[in-house]
Amino acid sequence: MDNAWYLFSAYGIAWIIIFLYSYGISRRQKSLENQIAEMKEALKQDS
Amino acid sequence: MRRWVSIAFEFSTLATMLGALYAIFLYAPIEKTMGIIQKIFYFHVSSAFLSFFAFFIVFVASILYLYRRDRKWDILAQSSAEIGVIFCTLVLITGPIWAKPIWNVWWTWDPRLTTTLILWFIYVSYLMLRKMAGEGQRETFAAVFGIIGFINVPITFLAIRIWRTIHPVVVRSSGISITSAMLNTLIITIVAFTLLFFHLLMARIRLERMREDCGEMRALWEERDNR
Repeated sequence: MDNAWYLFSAYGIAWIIIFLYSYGISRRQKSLENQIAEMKEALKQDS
Repeated sequence: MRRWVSIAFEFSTLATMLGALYAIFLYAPIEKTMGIIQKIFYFHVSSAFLSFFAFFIVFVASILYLYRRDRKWDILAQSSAEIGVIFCTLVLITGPIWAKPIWNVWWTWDPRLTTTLILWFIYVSYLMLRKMAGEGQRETFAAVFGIIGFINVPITFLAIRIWRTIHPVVVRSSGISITSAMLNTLIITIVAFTLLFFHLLMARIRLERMREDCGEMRALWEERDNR
């Protein structure tokens, strides 16, 4: 039973790390998309 | 069209990963000596394989950057290094979790473990060098570091053959020391992890390209402001 706990901890931690990294990329992408959209809008209004 | 290809690829990655999990927990047999804890093997070995692959991409992309001086190779090297560090981290976490119930220690300065830790430090240093190096020098320094750092990948891989080690050996000169069901499960898991690697790599490259676009737009903006 103890070894099963180690097994599920290993898989759990692995998935958490992969998920956090993936989420981090997704969040930074969204932030950059918003910045690019804002600048495009501002440049359009300026011209 | 590209959007559909992207969705199909993501779906394939998810489906293959679910298939791998099915194979690991329901298809592969429980190992006789170590019991259920041995199933960490599939994630552990797959992570190691993908980290070596990622660092190989850094090596090749770094050479191509120095040869062509095209930023796209530098972006590929940087993205691959980051994901390689993630997979190497998974190796260094799943390994000790597996080791504790089997060897009764979390860590030992065994050649395979030590060289893997050194490998992790090398590529973490690569990423730190990129952050700290100056504009114009960053890409060149990183490329040189990415080429030299790769030397440790074959050393890590061959550590169990060069030195005496307590780390398990799966591929021996006499053959493969796991059952065919375990081998099939390992292959499926490696395929799933490879698809995951490419999924993360494409996302990371896209992020870097967006960052560049954003930088160019900001430069245009400042140029207008200064007029």
